[in-house]
Amino acid sequence: MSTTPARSPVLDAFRGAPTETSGDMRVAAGGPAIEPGRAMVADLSGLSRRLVVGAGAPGWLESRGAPLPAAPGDCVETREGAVVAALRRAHYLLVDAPAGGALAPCFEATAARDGDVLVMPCEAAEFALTGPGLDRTYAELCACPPARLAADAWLATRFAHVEAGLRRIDTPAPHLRITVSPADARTVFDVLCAVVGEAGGEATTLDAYRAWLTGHAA
Amino acid sequence: MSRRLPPVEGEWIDRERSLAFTFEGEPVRAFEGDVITSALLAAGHVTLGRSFKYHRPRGVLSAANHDANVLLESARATHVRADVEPPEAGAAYHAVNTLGGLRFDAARALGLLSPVLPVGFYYKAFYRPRFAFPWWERLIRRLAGLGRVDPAWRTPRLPRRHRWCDVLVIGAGPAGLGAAAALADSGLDVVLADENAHCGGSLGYAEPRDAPAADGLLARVTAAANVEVLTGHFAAGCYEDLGVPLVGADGIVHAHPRALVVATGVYEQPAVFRNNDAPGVMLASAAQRLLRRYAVAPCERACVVAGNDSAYAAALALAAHGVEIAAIADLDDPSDRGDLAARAIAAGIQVIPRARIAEARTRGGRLAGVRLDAGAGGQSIDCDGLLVAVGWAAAAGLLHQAGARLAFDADLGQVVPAELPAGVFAAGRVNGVFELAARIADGRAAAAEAGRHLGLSGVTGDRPPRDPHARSHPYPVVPHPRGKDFVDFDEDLTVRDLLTGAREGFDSVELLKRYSTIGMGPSQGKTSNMNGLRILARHTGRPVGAVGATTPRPFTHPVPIAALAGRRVRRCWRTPIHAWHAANGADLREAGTWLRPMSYRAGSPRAAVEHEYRVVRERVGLIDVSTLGKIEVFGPDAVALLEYAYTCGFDRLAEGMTRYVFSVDGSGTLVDDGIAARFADDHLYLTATSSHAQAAVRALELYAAQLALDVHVLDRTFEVGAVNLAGPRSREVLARLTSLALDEAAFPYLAIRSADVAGISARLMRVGFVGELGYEIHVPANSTGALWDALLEAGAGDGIEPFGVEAQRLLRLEKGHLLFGQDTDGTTNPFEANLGWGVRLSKPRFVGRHSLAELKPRVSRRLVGFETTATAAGEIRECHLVIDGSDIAGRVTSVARSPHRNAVIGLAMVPIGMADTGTRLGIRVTDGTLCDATVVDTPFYDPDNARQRPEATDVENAA
Repeated sequence: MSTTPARSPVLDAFRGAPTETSGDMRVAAGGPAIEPGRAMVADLSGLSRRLVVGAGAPGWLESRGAPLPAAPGDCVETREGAVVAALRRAHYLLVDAPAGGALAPCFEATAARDGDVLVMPCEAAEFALTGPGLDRTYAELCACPPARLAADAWLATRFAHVEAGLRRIDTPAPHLRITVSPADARTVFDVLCAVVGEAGGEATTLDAYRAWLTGHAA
Repeated sequence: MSRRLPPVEGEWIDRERSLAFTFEGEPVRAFEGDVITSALLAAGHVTLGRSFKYHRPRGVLSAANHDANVLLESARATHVRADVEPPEAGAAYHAVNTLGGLRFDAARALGLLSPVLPVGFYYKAFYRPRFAFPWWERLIRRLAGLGRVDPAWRTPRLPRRHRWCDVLVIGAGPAGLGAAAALADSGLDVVLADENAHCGGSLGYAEPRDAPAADGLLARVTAAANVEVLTGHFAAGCYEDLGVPLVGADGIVHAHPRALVVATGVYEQPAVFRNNDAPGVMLASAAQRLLRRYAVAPCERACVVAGNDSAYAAALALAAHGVEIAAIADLDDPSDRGDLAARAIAAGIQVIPRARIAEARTRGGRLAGVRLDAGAGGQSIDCDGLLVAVGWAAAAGLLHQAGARLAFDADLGQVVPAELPAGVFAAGRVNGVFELAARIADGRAAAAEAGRHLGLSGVTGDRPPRDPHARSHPYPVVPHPRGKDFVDFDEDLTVRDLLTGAREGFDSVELLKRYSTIGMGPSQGKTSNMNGLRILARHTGRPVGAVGATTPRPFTHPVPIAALAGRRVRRCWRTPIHAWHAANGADLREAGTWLRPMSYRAGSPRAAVEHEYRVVRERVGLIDVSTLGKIEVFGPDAVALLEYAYTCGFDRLAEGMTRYVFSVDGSGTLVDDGIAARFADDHLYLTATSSHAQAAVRALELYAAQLALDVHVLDRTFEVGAVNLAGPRSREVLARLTSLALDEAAFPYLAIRSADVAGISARLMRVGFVGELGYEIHVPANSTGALWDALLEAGAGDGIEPFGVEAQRLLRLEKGHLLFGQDTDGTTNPFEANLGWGVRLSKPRFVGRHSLAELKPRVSRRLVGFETTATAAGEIRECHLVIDGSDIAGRVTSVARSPHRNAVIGLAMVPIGMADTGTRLGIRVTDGTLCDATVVDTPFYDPDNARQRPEATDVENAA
């Protein structure tokens, strides 16, 4: 495991903001609180992620108590908000591992070859888009039917002209989670900042998003 | 004198809210809800524009988005369509295409030349004498075009959005409303789109809004929760999977329906007679729109040309609002018109049977009266308005684009759908159904069919029969010996122009269109094609249906570039260290989709590159190579996949080692190169060129599927960052950050190791692309910045500096390494590029094997190194030609000034006969000079690869 903090691919977009370490990544912190009725975009790149790939991947996950999505394109969310997404056959993405949560054992294992399974850190950027203009923003930036954004879906599509994985989450209020590659992170983040800016909103940080999810002030 | 009428029931204007603008410098007041044309007419402006070619005065024609001669410009927009666009408060509008203003347009003198400007004139003139053509070209370009573009004006981009729905109904007239109302509360998600500001279509101007047949229709639609009404949006076209862009003032809505109901109606058609373009001559439907929607009297005294009963409805409507109807000139027998004709006669309106308009009289550039032909007694009638109601053309462009087969119904005198593709339904007048109640029923039936198409059985409705008799006059054309009988108002085409074109041999409809340009103006033939077909049919002695029709391509109406552009999203891939590069003065340029630092020093680019070159050759340099493709291949069949995808053998590639690999396509042409590293028999790691990574992944996935291999191919390009630490001091710098043994025995050239570097999990490869001892270090993308910082800090005492792509290109050229896509092209095979050593034809199967076996004995050219110190050597550029005698023999693929050789060096593809060392090459530089060069052995630098042995780099610098 790395001991040197990685950096959010959009850290430099939060010029002057305080930073904190989330997992092993340095991210901006102390962003404005997410308010109902206000368009906002939060940088969630600091969430931990892993890829588990190989013929033995389902068994590897099950043996560690991780829930398994039914089919590629599906995802399962644990009670504490962690996610297992089946990207392809025998190819899983794990997102976020709160201590003591269902996915924690998967993250405790060393990222390495494990029999017929490859366990790798997954480098990605992720953003949460919240606010009343969500459907309209989705309709502008994504050509995929919104019906495919079902509760348990991991929608691999293009968003803002970029390959992305999308999830729609309905609590505490409907919002969109957008995962893109680090190389595309700034492109997408700038577009989302422009979109929320036009609606009077602004960008915020992972701690503000966590606080919004748990109903506590950041 | 104001032509604004007292309030008219159902009018679209809001008399409580007014605004002001100017037209040709004169102030004009308008109401909210007006279009520019209605406000201008209300203020007494009859002449609103000039024609394209002869600059004839023109006025309202359709008031339905087809008035191509009433295009305006303002400080904010070029091509304002005055007949449908609302005025902007404070705007200063001018007619386009004038020299000196609308009233005194100097270019109107061109009209005097019309007798000597026949159709095809431009094809027959100006090309001789040749020296004069540029002058003519400049003059024509200055005269042509509609409006001026202000390059300083930046129109805001309009956002686009996608709208998925079950049914899209296009057209909110009676048929469209009937369809939408039938689908209300059906559970289906319905979008109803119409280009007008309000629903209703002809309801409200041609028929009473409260007609019994339409009772409650609009209310039912607007109250339905499952029907979204998009007024002010026109359907610009119909594309794959029924995709329909709906264009509105606020941008484009991309509709994706599962079923499409086309209720687009019909375009009213003009009659052709002398001076039929004079301001004051307009379609009857235009007069009705002006009257009912904007409460504007189109004229004070009108004559009406009747080819169907809608003429009588228009006359009665105008008369009811105080417009004097001088006469109705019926092209046929009024007794066939039914109740409306009787009502007109009863109202005291003079009806002249079997009349033909011989010409319109003009005074001061506008309509003054009409003269009927001798058959009608040669009667002359004074009027300032001539309303033409002679027939319709189906607005069937969207149906055609959706894949419908259309046919001309001779009885109806109109094109109707003969066969519709699955999921597409037509309703209303575009379907040949004209009676109001029947149109609504037709819409309902179309909705029922759409519902059934989507598996819904609750919506029912039967198709009414199409109209049994023609609604269009078969030949509303009265040619005049003195011309000015316009068929196409956009392009100033007369009957004679079309006949001339047909006589010259362009008698197919598609050829005549292109020769004469009929239908190629801004209104795209909506008011000209039908009469053009009739004229061509009569000339060639064929029925109209046999003449054929031109293709109605998108867009239905012009679409602003701002709407097409949508939100600006410029995709640029940024490496994980992009922010550092930007903050440290890097010259960042696009290289494919990536943004890459070319160099880091200001001032002379050549000096910057040479400085960075020397850093690498003499000390230690660091370059961001995160753009390389990185591919993980994992599974029992990993080696089998690579054996198939690449030309070389992998059996001798030991665990912990790498090798150079390249791939070819089925024809043996080089495609991509990179490094393959083996971690285990079932786990390999590949790199690919920066611009080819995704294609390489797709190819591997394809081969894995084709061969049914048990292997996972993972594109890790964006997840893994990479830097190359290179130079004689690189080992010392790296040693400060890792516990990995770096000595030659533990970590030899071409080995790969996994270790922590600066606390970051890393893969390290000993490769030498730039020709120095070096380490390519791959780490998680988001940690690449930390690695970069750590290496710069660790190497500070050794004089470490970053180097950019330009220095890297020079360094690799000295080492003789190829750049795929630059030193190779779409025809280069491995034997030509001196890569035959990497082709193992003894392998039983791999991509391109058969072709390579054929190519190997047939090599006719080869990539060679050359060197020159000639005076013009500095002028040699990539792609300059190698000349043999007076023939082109080859081309330069790479060239640079080599500090090591103190000469210009390069690579060139030359015939095999010129490839021997010592051969003299003539390279033709840009100014035509031939520059002498000599073929030399490659690499230019360190041919024994001594720099890759650390003991050698410890003792000397070769630069």
